[in-house]
Amino acid sequence: MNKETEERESFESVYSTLFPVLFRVAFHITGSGDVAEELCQEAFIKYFSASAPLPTLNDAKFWLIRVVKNLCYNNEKRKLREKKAYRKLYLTRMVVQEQETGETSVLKDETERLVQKALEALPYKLRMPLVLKEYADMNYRNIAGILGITEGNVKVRIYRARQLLSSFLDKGDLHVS
Amino acid sequence: MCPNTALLSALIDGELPHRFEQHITDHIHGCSICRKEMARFSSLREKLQQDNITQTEITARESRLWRSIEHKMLSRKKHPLLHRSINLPLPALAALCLVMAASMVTAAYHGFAAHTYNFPPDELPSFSTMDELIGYLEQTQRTGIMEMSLPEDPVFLFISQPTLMPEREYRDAKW
Repeated sequence: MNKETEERESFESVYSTLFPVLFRVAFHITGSGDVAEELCQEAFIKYFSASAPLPTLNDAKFWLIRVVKNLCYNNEKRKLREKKAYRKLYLTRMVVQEQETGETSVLKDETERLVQKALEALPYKLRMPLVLKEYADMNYRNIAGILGITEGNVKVRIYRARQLLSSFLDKGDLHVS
Repeated sequence: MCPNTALLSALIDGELPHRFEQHITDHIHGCSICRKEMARFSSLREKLQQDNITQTEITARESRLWRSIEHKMLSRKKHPLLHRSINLPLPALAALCLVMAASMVTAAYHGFAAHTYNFPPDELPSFSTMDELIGYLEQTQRTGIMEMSLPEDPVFLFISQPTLMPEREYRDAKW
């Protein structure tokens, strides 16, 4: 078996094991399946193009989640820019629409959708550690490594995220972002 | 006294040191407020785990994305050298840039000098006009920069056009 085939097989195995984790993380950060898929694609292509496969599956997971985190961050910034521009243009009309759709969706939507909406309403710096904890099944140390913060900071951010999320769900107030 | 609720959140995640874990667990058994708080965190966790992504959706997306990635992988031919990343420390990079700049300057200087041609005095016919000189240079296909020195004699007078002549004739001439 030549080196290229070996690398390809290793990549395939990393892909099939880590895609569900990566997709879940990206989905809960971005709130969109299509965007999450796009980001996963970019991350895996980067992984394949980078160099030889990483020695262990854990290393690959760490590396890929780091890439996805950066891609999500860029996506978040882009979304915020678009939102700002949109608000600037259609401020009056949007206020009316938000009141109508917000009320109806809280009444009609299912629990999962509400949770996802509440998750999206969390500030990015609180959302990211919580999503990594809940959907990537990572410990505080690894999350701290990925986000470049201390373990203590991870603990506090996850706690605050839970408190805020809980209050959003209790009040049904999902328009805080 | 009840522990900080942040510790309860860490306890749910299994991130507390063993001695604290035991201590707090004992406290929770006897404290209704902390039990309620723990129940709130547990319920939130359950809600988060019940996300609306089905396994079927993930599998469908996984295979669709794999086809796309595979296509991209096959269409791209990897070059072993072009796809290797090199980690270079900043001082080494700066030194490399300096060396490259110095070699470029040296190469430019030598390249410039290589185009200079010194005419042997015997080889150079006499020219009376600039057009003749240019014609000669074109014939011999010699290009470059020609340096022409004017007499350094203080009595040199600018009368009519300067005349081109071999250095030897110039030296022998009686001014």
